[in-house]
Amino acid sequence: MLIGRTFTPLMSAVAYLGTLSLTVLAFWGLIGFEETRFTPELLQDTYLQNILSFTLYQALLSALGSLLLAIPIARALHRLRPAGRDQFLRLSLLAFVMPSLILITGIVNLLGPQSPFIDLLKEWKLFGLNGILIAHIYLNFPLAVRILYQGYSSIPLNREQLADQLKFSFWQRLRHIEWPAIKSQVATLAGLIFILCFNSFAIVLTLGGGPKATTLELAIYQALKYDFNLNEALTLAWLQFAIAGLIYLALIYASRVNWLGSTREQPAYRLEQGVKVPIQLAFYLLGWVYLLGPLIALFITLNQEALINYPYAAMLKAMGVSLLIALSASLLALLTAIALLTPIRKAAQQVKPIQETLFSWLANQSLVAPAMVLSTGSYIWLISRGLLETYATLMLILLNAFVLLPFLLSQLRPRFIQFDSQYAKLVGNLKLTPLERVRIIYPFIRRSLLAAFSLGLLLALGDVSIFAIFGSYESPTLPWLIYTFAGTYRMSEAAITSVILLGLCYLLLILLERSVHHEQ
Amino acid sequence: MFTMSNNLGLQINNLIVSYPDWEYCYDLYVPDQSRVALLGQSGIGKTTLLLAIAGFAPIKSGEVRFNDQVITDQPPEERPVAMLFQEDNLFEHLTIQQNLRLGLDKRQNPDKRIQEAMQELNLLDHLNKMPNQLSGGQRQRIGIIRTLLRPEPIIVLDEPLTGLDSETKEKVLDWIDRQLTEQQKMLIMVTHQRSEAARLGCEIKSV
Repeated sequence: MLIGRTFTPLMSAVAYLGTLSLTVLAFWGLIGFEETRFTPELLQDTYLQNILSFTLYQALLSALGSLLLAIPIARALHRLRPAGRDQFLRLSLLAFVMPSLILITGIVNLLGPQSPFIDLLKEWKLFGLNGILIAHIYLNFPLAVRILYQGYSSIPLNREQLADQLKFSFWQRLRHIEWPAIKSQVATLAGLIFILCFNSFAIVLTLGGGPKATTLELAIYQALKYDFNLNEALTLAWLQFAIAGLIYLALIYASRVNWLGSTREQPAYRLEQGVKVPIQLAFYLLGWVYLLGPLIALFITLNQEALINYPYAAMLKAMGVSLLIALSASLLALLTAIALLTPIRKAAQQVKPIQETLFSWLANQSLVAPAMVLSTGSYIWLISRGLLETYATLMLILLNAFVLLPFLLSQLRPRFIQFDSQYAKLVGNLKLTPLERVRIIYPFIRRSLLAAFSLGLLLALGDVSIFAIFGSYESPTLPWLIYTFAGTYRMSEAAITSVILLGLCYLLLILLERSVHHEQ
Repeated sequence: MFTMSNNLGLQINNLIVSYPDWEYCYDLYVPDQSRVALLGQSGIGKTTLLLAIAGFAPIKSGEVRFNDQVITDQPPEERPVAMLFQEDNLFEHLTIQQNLRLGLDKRQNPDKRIQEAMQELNLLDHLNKMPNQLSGGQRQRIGIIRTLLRPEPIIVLDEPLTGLDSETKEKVLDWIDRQLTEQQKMLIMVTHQRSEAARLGCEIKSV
């Protein structure tokens, strides 16, 4: 109860109805109209079957690759406390939230046709599975490192001391001390990274493509925007929804992982020594090279001529569009998330777990249906009624806000719940006016609000998939401008735009990290 | 569990408080402006009874009346009760003064009353401090001050004097006694010390 007894439930009801309406509208569109409907015969098509197999295959390899790289690095960070550890963790967070098109520009500069290592890469092709895996692992292994590092840091000191007392070998320590501390995170991460890569769009759009390297999302986009084959788009969207939804249900506990949590020091324990140290340090170094390589490569194609000829006016316009969409979407998402939290908090206070779970599910509904599925459904609904041009910009903001909700909710919820568990009785007992309630809760949650808002901005700034469906290509966002430059082989322009977007994201990240750290 | 009669004051009739794993049943009568101390073993349900009176416990059945008006379904914000919890009585992110102003009647010159009370209990220097700059005993006294200065006619204190040294305890008991008398309020208190109850002139009820 943040504001008043009637106003707050009313806002909550509006938030739940609004988000539900958006889902209903999207699925109404997906049900189809007249000649456009779900066409199961299409699933017999070998081409579509290949797309499905490739989507699953690349997601599986990406998840495996990310974890295999992340585990030794997280262990090295914990056991060796190497120099530059804090910077590595900060860079990891940046890599995870960074708009994927920045990375793609960097990777293409580093390993593409204009690569400085072109002589070494004669037979090797970036575009296709290789490029997709490199980019997916880049974007996801830092997330895994941060979470696994939290797992390692949670090992109780007395357990470490017991292991020393019992003279455990490296493998015994791994089996009895470390694996139990990280195994649940490993399982969750495997599922989470799989689903993120399964729903990946921008990377496959730019580094994949062609019949051999197309995923479901890309096929939906192509069917909608190039072939105007609504039946195919609709059928694939359902397929995407069914698979992503099933994986999400299996992963329902993923939200327990605190992926933005503080990575501050745990009580120090003795550092590892011995022959395995250099191997672990090598992994740590590899992590640095992997993370920094594409970012440094952004500067390869930069030169004075490129900087002089760069279309600054177009970039400034794109930045304006990006900021306008991102600011509107994150502000809307923030207000909606606060309203959605009200009944969840109330159920938590009254120890009504079924009600709490039900409301949490409703609030997080966009996790089940990927952005592309929602966009496709809404697009078909609007176009079938001749409303697309009128409402495209509104839908762009609404859908961006909608997909931000789970992230913002996970950021806000713990702090609100902490306030309630500590003070709800006191607030009730003191008989405070609505204004007094706001005055009390605001300083308590201010940092969380700021963190959630900057996280929303960061994520919305990187959106490609919703813009691809609803955006106006004449007024592109910064990521879409990068895509346009890269698509026409203007890599210098793509790189300059990427550096600008990276700078913007870095500023937001500092704001986000300060908020999160200060709070904890 | 308790005896019951039908007069003005607080009446609790066959009140069943239900949690997933256990239930408590209460009957209690506290005459208006009188003082009652609840004594009993730990875990027997004394705090739960206070929470039920203040509106924080899940009621399955039964009735709570105050001056013949049923308040069983009233939310905590509307009950005529000011309660001191065992812990978490202060907002950690607000200063002591900001904490003390909350819940006080704005028409009764709250700042002056706060100053006087803080002076009497040797806390005046701490008005602008944050709660985490105070000791446990000092925080406890701040909580007591705010609860007693509030306008509600029923004061509910859950182990208010735990952790206070004997000299301070005497001072606080004196102050509580005076406030209750001056403002003609009802007191329901949980304590483990019969001497504290006797000092405030409480009728002792064993739970």
